[in-house]
Amino acid sequence: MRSLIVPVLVLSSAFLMACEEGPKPPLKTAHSVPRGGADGATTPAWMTPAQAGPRGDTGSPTAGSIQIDNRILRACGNLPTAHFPFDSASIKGDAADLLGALASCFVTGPLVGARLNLVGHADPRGGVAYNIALGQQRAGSVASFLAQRGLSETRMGTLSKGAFEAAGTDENGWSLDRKVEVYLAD
Amino acid sequence: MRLTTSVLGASSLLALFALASLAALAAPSAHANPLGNVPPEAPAAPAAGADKPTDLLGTMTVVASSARALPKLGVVPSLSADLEDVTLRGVVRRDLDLCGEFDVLAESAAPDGLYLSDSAVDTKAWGHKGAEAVIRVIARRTGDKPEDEVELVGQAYLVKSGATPVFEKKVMASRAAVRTASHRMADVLIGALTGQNGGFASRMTFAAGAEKVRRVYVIDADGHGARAASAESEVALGPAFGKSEELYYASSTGNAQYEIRSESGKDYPLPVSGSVYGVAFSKDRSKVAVSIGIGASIRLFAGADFASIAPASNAPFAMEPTFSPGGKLAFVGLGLTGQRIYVDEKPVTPEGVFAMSPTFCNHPDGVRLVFAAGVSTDADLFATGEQGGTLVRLTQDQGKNSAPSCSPDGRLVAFFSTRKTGEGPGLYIMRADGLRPKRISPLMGDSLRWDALPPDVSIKAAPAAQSSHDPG
Repeated sequence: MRSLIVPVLVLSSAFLMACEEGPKPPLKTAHSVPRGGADGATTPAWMTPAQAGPRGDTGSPTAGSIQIDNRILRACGNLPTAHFPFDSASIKGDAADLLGALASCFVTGPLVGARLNLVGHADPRGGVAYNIALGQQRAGSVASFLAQRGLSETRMGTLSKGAFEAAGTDENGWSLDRKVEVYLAD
Repeated sequence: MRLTTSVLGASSLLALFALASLAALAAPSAHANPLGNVPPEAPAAPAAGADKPTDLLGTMTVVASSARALPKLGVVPSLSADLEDVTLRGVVRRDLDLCGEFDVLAESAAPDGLYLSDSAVDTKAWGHKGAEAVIRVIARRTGDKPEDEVELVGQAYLVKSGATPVFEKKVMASRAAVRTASHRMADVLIGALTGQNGGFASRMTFAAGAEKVRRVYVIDADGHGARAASAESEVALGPAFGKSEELYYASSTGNAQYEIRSESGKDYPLPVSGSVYGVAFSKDRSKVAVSIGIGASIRLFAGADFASIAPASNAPFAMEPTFSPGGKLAFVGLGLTGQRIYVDEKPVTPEGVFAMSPTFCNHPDGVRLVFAAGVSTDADLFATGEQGGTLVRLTQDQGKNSAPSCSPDGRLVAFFSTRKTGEGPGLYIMRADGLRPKRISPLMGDSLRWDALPPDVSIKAAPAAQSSHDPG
């Protein structure tokens, strides 16, 4: 029984030690995160219900939102919203549809030939490097999705601002901090 | 730079090293927990039964205001109001206090006396005040014109050796360089009393910001002269002093990818496309390492210069690179259950500990790896061997302590602290064994680096002095 208990305690320790103001699970990587949940991708097995949170976009460390620059909205014309939730671990549903429309705008639409920058952000829990890594992971996952929809990676820049601009002080605020901003590159 | 020193008789030197030995006795090895409660060898994996993070990291209690006895040191006061003299005395006195090797007597504790520039030092009277050694420094203008140089004199006396200085140094400096020359003077006086020069002729750099503004800053090792080194219009991070002793950092303007930029405004394109999150240079500047965000990960590259970097690690999210004094490349990367510090690709911090911000102290007792680790909702500083091993806790119960960086002489660690007790939050320096933390600035930030100043051509040997020793 002891062998079953210890890993749970160790993971809890890692969560706590990662945090500045509260628990934040470690980054997901291919080797660090056990697959869990029915789809094997969205909810790591080690995430407790309390960490999963009451709403879809606030519970997962990979969840957040995408915010699209007004210049892109005006140019593309057919993007229905500038702000929508997504999960960087598995972009699907409405987020996939919207990013697909964004990719089309740059591949065959009004912004053919234009470049964009994807800026990832994290909530303020965790160290500076850790939050930069989270932001890069979020921006990179969106870039990867757009690339799969035909947008050349050479036309996309990714960067992370970590928690530099984070303002949240509770779970609701942190969920707003976790985001990817899409800007038209000058 | 060539500095001229008069080293006095052999008997005085013996006395000098006797004091140095005393200082060494008072200064415990960085390898030992100062309170004798040394945690066991760092486990390769978390110990079974570790039911809270602190169990992984040891439970010693650091007493910041430790009463450990250090050699008492007097600094001769002066009635001179000359700016250069006031600067020299102020800088040297503060450096001697900050270095953590001495208990510097308060000016109010100085024995009665005239304290003119040509007054003899009454070592006997200082001895009655408890001092074991006395430092006197004097700065004199050589003329009234702005371009006239200033002569700086530093002397060290041992109380038991009487009124003859056991060490003396004279240098000439331009007026603009008096402050830097004062730090160099403090360093050699520390060297005269401990056997190794101090590290205050140096500067630190760090990143800080609020909301959308984030800049890199440079500050003197005593907290003086903080200034922004990047423009407000750019987002700047990961600063490091590098080739040609310039300041390099990652810069993003207009939400474009971070690129390497130097303080002079020059950009350095890389053969690898991506956002730069950190840069490090080896001590001799012959190697450079760069963390670059590529896709959804961050990879580490290294080479002789920016143009020739190649992959240096397979670790995902390899960040905060730094080089050991011997050229080993350390960085932070993801472990199975947290963030670990790697040295030449080998993890050296325990799995399960959330480690960050590695720095190497080239301490006289041996190279030490110092790093921060998350503990509950705070962070603390720890030391271990260059390749890992026994962990020594340097801070505890003093808020979040982060971004450590070692002094050029390896005996001090600078770090940011959110502590609310004592001197409050800000930039601190403390001995490498965790004792005598002192705040040098209320500024807060991250990504701290501490490097020696390059030689200053405006500081040179005084012409009339003997040239018998160049302490560097």
